[in-house]
Amino acid sequence: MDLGRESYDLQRALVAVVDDDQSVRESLPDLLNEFGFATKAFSSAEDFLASSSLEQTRCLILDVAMPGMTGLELQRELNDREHRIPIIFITAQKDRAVRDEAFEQGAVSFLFKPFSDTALLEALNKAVQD
Amino acid sequence: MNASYPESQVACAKRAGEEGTQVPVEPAPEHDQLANVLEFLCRAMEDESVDRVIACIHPLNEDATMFRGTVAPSLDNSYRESTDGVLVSSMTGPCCQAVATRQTAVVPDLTADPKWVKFREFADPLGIRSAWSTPIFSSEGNVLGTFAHYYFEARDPSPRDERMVRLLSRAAAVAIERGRAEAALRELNETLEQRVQAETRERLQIWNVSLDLLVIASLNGKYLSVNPAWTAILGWSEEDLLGKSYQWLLHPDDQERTGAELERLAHGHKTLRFENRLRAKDGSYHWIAWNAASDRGRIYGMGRDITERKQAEETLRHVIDTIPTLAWCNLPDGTNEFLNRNWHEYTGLSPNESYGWGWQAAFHPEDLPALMEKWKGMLISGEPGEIEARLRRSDGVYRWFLIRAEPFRDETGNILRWYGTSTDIDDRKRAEEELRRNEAFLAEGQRLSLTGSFSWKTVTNEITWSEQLYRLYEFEIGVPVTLELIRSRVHPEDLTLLEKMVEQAQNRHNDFEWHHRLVMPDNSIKYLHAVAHARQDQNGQLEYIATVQDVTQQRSSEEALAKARLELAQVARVMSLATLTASIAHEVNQPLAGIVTNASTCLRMLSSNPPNIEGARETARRTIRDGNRASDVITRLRTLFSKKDAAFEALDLNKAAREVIALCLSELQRNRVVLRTELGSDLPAVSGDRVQLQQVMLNLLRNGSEAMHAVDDRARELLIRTERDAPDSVRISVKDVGVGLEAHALEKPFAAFYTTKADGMGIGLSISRSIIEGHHGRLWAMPNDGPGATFCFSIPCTSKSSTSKGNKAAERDAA
Repeated sequence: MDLGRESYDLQRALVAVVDDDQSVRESLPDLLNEFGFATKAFSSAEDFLASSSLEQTRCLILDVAMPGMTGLELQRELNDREHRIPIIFITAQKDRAVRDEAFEQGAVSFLFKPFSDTALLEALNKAVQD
Repeated sequence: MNASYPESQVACAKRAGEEGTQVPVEPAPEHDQLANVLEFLCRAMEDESVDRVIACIHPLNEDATMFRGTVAPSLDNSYRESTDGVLVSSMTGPCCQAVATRQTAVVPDLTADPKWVKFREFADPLGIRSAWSTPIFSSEGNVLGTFAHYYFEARDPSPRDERMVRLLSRAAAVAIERGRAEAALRELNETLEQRVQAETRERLQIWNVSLDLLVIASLNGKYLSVNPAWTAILGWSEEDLLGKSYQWLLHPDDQERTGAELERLAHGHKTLRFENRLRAKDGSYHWIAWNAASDRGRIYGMGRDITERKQAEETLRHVIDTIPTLAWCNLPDGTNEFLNRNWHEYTGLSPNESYGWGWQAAFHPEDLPALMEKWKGMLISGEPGEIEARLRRSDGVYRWFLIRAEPFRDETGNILRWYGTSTDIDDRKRAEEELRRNEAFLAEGQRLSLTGSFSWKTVTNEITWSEQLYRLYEFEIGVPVTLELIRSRVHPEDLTLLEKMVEQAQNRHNDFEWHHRLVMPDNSIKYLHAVAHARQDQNGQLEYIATVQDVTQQRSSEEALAKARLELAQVARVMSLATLTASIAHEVNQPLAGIVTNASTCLRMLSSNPPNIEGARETARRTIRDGNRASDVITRLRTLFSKKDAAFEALDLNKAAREVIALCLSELQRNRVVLRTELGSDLPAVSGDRVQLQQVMLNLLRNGSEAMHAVDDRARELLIRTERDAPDSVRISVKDVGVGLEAHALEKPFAAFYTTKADGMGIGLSISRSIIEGHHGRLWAMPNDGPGATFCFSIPCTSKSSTSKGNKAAERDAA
């Protein structure tokens, strides 16, 4: 199944999901598939950076609070590498400071969990259009 | 005394004095000489005369009124005797007439003239028939006497006789004049000598009578003359002393000094009050005070026996040495003459070191200038005075002394000596200083602690305030204090309180205290707390001594503290709530997000063409699962909401721990923390508030997890252990392998607001500790043997009584 998915994915934009929460990694990819995206899920920012999908990722759905490298730190790292991937942040914490920082560093969108599927779709379209 | 009599005269007068006779009055030698001359002249007349004639000369006295000293060699003594003293005015003989008329009186025939009846009484027996008398004139024409001739027949003087008489009269005049002159001179000399002798006698009286030793000596000190006092005082006779050298009688210790003084005398200086000792005949020594001067090769001295005075001085000195104070005697020039024994013993300075100006060395160098200035001022003004200064004891320690001196004057008011005492006032001075210091401290203390004090004599209503009390009441310092004045400040609501207090204080005699408020001019309120102590003053009347403290600050501080504690508790509660809420939000949002996502996916899958039934089923399943998860979380967390007040009950700590673990397990796992549990079996129940204790456990678990945030080289192991803690407590330990704690900083994390988290509030451990302490337990931290730290708390087990408490709590909850 995965193989099919993967080869099918070659024609779809790759959206990476980075979240330490298992339920997110469980549920989001299916939704994204329904939207017509190819997805890849990572449990940590480090895994994502080390992965081979780094180059092809068209959009990043990124959790803020993670053990190890946080979402903001990953954003900064990518900026430093000049590897600009549109980022949609998702988080359970309502922290204005974090939100402001994320936007300052070039985030496309900042969504609070739980978010509706339409909100996500809007953010995705915005991200992929750029 | 300046004696200037040659010793021969003195000797002579002395002898006269000794013999007690007058100056001998012998017939003056010149009288004889005149008589011889006159006699010669008479005989010359008689010899030269042809006729038989008797010649005689009748000198007159000085004022020519009377015949004295008749010379008639040819007549016997009776003639001389009868003519001696005959008055010219008696006119008894021709001589009288001659003197009176200043002319020769001739009586050729005595029988013929009745005038000379008287004369004839003498003349007739002798056979004298005629007489003539020629006045003898002095060179100035005064009648000095008469030259008389008596013939045995009636006749006139012959020219020859007349010539003779004239010649001889001239010679007689010269002789008589000379005789008179010599007599006058002799008389003068006699008078002079008598006067001299009288004076000498008088002066001699002084010499003899004087109780002082009088001496005339040669310049090299040989005794030439000594007065009787030497015998009276020293027992020496003049023979013993004359010609001896001064050293013979002198005390050996005074030899050198006396020799030096003699030198000075010999060089013309005067000796005043020079004292030395002379040996008496009985071997004892007498102190003599000498005044002497030299004059024309002689030394004249007067010595006063001052032995008694010296003895009196000795006795006095003994007294002065014995009296228990330092005493001294200085000269008018300010130098020291004498210091008593105590002075020397105290200072350790010998007399040689201290006489003159040497005593200055005993004074503290800092005090000496002021002392000298005062002393010099006193010397000039002559006024008694005193000054305090530090005197050095023989061991080098300086002590404060009071130095006082008074002048001692003679009858004319001249200062002879300064007498003084130096009294040890060190203890008193230190006590004074300490008193001053204490008073200053007290005043300062009152100022700092806003405490004033007052004394109140209830009978007279005399009130005395300390400066600080004036400040408290905000009155000008020194204003007389009355109850009225006090009332003007007291808070109107407390006035009755004041009246009551005053009444009680006056009628009772107890210590008391009271609180009341003041209203200040700016309408601010002051709280005062006063404590009063009853005592009797020196008149036996009731007096209160009280301290009054401004406790406004304390009050507001206490209030603020209480308020802060309340707020803090609330904040803590709120904070706990906040963290819990965040935790809840986090816990719940995760499944919620999953639910929303899965549900959305499910819908889309169902509405795709063809519908993705398999996918929909899967997403729906997940939805339900997540919903349950959320519900579970809320159920668990609700228990934390329900309990508001601490309610103690019997707890199974293991059970409570498991609940907490379940709550934060996912969070821990997200942080890659590996949780290990070692929950002791057979753990006795503890008495406590479940909610609070679980808060603490949560706090410790979170902290442990935080501490291992940077650990990458090993597993992030968090160990929870429960066990019995002897004798009757249960302990929970949370051990991590994180950054650990410094051994000396084990208490640091428990400080309020301590945090290592950049965004944390850090109240956790501080409040956790107070929660545990509220459970009569304790919370502490230990460094591990390896990396990381262990946080533990220990709670006492329940006792029977606690169980009943727990029941009560349960009842309360039910109500």
